[in-house]
Amino acid sequence: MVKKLRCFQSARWLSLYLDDDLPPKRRKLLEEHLQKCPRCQKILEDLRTIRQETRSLENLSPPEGLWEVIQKRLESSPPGQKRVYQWDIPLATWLRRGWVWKGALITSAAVVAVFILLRLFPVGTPAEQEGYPFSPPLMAEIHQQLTSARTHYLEFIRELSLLADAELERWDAAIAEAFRESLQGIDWNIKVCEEEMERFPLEPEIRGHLFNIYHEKLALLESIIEIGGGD
Amino acid sequence: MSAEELYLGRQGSFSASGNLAAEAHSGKGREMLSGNNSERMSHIVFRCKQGEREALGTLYKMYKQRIYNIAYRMTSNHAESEEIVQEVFLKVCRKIGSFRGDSSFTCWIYRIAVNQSHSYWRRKGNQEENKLVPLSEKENLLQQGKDGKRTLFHYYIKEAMASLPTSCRAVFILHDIEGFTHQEISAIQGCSIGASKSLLAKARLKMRRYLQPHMGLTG
Repeated sequence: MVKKLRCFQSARWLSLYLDDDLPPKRRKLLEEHLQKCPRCQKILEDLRTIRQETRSLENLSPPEGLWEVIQKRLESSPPGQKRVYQWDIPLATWLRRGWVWKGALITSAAVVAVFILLRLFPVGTPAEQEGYPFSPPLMAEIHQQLTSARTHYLEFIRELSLLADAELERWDAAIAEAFRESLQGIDWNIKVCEEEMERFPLEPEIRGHLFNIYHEKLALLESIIEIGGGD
Repeated sequence: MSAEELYLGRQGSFSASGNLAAEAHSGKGREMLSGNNSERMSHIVFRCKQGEREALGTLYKMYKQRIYNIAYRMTSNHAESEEIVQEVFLKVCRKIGSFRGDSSFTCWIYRIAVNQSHSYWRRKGNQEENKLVPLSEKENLLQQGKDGKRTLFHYYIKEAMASLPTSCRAVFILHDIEGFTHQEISAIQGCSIGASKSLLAKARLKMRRYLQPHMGLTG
């Protein structure tokens, strides 16, 4: 069964038909359609008239003396001389010329610029930069609590140290000396830890270690007092 | 007989029977040139590459009219067309060294002309409305009878061409006015033959839509 040709398809073929460039099978289909469709016939007739009239448009000639102008321009800029790039063109015009590679270049430059800016001025809170997942107010609160806990530890240690010193005075000198050496070792550890704390005030591991040493010292002082109480 | 006289046809262009520009106009490509013409053309191009101003003058005489026509049909403006012709020949003079001869010289020079016209059109954009038919002139022409009506219809054709998109317009001008084949247009425009045919069909239908109210002038 031969497929029926529609007008919109016919319009696409009319130009080729006009130039005798349509394959025979399609040509036959189109001619059958044209016999039945006065609208497409009119279009074909119009296209033919337009082509005919277009071909009969007058030929124009450039004005006399144009060659002399070209020669003058050639003399002012001889071949081989590079064209001077016009720098003062508007931005919109510059972007319109060769927009594909310019677009790619601008995008790459923007990405690099953003990367460099992020490296120089990192976005985010100071707590996040140090690895703390807390907001600055929460961090301030935690810091205050830790400072007060440290103060309490130090108070206990000071009170127990007074009692322990008094106890050690009553002990045998050699045993007391051994205990004092242990306390001095712990004090040295505390000193090192506190120095580290000053350098890295927000480092949780150092703070935890310091509190462990405080515990250790408290335990030793308590044991001295208990041992003394036992005697 | 000088080279110019030898190569110039009646209208300043070649014909297939003895001059070169017909390689474009009559739809006959480079392969259709006779051996003699092809050799002469190569000789002129060679001389031009050597920097001989006379050879460039010969090329100017050969191609000026066609290039001017293409430029005028593309821009609808005489001053711009003159500027385009100048630019084309300046470019030919500067770039002839890079012409390797892969395509015919005719295709090469017309490609420059079309590209130059495109760039002029882009630069100007739609800043200037081309009102080609002043109302008073329209009335005068209508009173002049059949010839006047035909002239008026030609004005409308120019308007319709100016209203076409640039790609369609270039193909329409090259095929329907300048008489290039689709194969040559594909070489000039750097597109496929199918694309050239499709653009021509589109351009013709657009022209018809624009000219439909004025078709009575041709009767």
